[in-house]
Amino acid sequence: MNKSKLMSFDDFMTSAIISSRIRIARNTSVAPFPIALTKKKGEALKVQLKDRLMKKTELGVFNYKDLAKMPFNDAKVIVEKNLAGATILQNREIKGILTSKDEKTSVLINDEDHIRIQSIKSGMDLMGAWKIVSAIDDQIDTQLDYAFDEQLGYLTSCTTNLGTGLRASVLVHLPALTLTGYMDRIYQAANQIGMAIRGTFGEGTDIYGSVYQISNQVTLGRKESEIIGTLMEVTKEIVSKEMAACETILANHPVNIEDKVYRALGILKNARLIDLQESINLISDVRLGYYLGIIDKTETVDLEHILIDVQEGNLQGKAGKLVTNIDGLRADYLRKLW
Amino acid sequence: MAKINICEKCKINKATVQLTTYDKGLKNDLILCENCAKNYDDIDEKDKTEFTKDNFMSSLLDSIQSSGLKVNYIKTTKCEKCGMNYGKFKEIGRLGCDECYTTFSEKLIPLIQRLQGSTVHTGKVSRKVKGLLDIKREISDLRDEMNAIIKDERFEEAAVLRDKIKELESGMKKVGGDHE
Repeated sequence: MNKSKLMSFDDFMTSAIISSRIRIARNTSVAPFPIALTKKKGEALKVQLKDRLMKKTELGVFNYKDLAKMPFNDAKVIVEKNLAGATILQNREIKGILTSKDEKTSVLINDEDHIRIQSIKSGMDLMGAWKIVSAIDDQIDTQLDYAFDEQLGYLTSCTTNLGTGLRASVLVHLPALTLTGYMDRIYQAANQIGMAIRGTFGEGTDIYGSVYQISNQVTLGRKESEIIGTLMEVTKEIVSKEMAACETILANHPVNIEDKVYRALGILKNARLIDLQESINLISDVRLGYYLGIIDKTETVDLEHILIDVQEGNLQGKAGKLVTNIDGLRADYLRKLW
Repeated sequence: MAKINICEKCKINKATVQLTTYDKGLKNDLILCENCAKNYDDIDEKDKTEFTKDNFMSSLLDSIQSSGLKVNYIKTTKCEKCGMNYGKFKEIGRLGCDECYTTFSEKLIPLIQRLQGSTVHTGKVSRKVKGLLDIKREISDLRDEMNAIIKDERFEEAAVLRDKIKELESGMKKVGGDHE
């Protein structure tokens, strides 16, 4: 193996942090929360909220999609793109979503809360995402009678969102910490300071390809800027540990890792059937090879997009017809990339 | 001689707890022994073995309940705005509307303290409340000023301040009540 050298810390940060996401939960006090609405009242409120937002705020330029009228696969793609959680697949009649042209910013109507405002940014840009979300929030605030309590803050359907209603999260790729068995300690440390580490595709999902979602657990009693600041610090700290783990790997297991990376490349370039988990695991192995200087950047792919592209609903949607052999479709797609 | 009350449920033990329930706004008093009162909430409760965020919250609520024997909160305590009852909230871990926070506050505040480590919001403030808070502070300042002036017997100046306070108070009603 060539004498590999790690990239600079800043480059490392850019590579390991896939994306940043901010979402806030808001409700209006004029109606019960979506969970307590009948189908009929929920549908009426959806239309009312959509009209108000589109006509009275700058969200008029957003694209509106009614979940009720949407084919099931399209709704699945929305979840895969991280614009909403899997809960939107149920009780779709009362739900709608407004998305910006680039689909980086969205407003979800009548999911767990009346309004969920979200912004996703590539790399580490939580503050940028917060600014977008907060500006939309200010506009909606002028149009809706927000459910707000002077003591408890913004009132939400679940008490885990109460106060700021804020969930800030970053998607990070940590293959070296995973390989060296350090993740348990990271989990514990994060927990102690009010941060949670979740699965690749959000709450309640498994970890694929060492891609973790780090987010705040506490939403009440801290300012938004404090929550976001802490998450940024924690992420930076974790990524620096990941870099240290890369150095350990380089020092101790060069041939094993080199073999792992090239095997992964071999499968991605040649497989005819590949499931979601395996595909992301292999893509992760190849990327680890890039971090360690084993392979060139041109041999890797952008994680942010591929995590969406290899999912079932997205592959199905792009095929334009009903395909039962999704694993075959995925393998074809991946072979074309390499 | 004082009459000894027997528990209305087990009909064996001495009743020491009065349990108040509300069903469709109707008040109903039950006199129970400690044991029956503790278990009252769990009657008909489904067996939950799967661990989820929601039943975790439910068990947190249970642990809060057992810490004191104030069993006013039972399944039938109902939110008048949305119809959510305490039993259902416990089951699904979600509140039905903003009023639920008032209806179930006695149980919710300790739960929130445990989950969030705080019960005081320090972040962003909704526009309507922000305006109200500002006006409230201004009125309070003007009152202090007016009282000082009255002590000096400068009544004409005090009347000007009084009118200003009145104006602000009527403006406050408008801010608070003008939303659709």
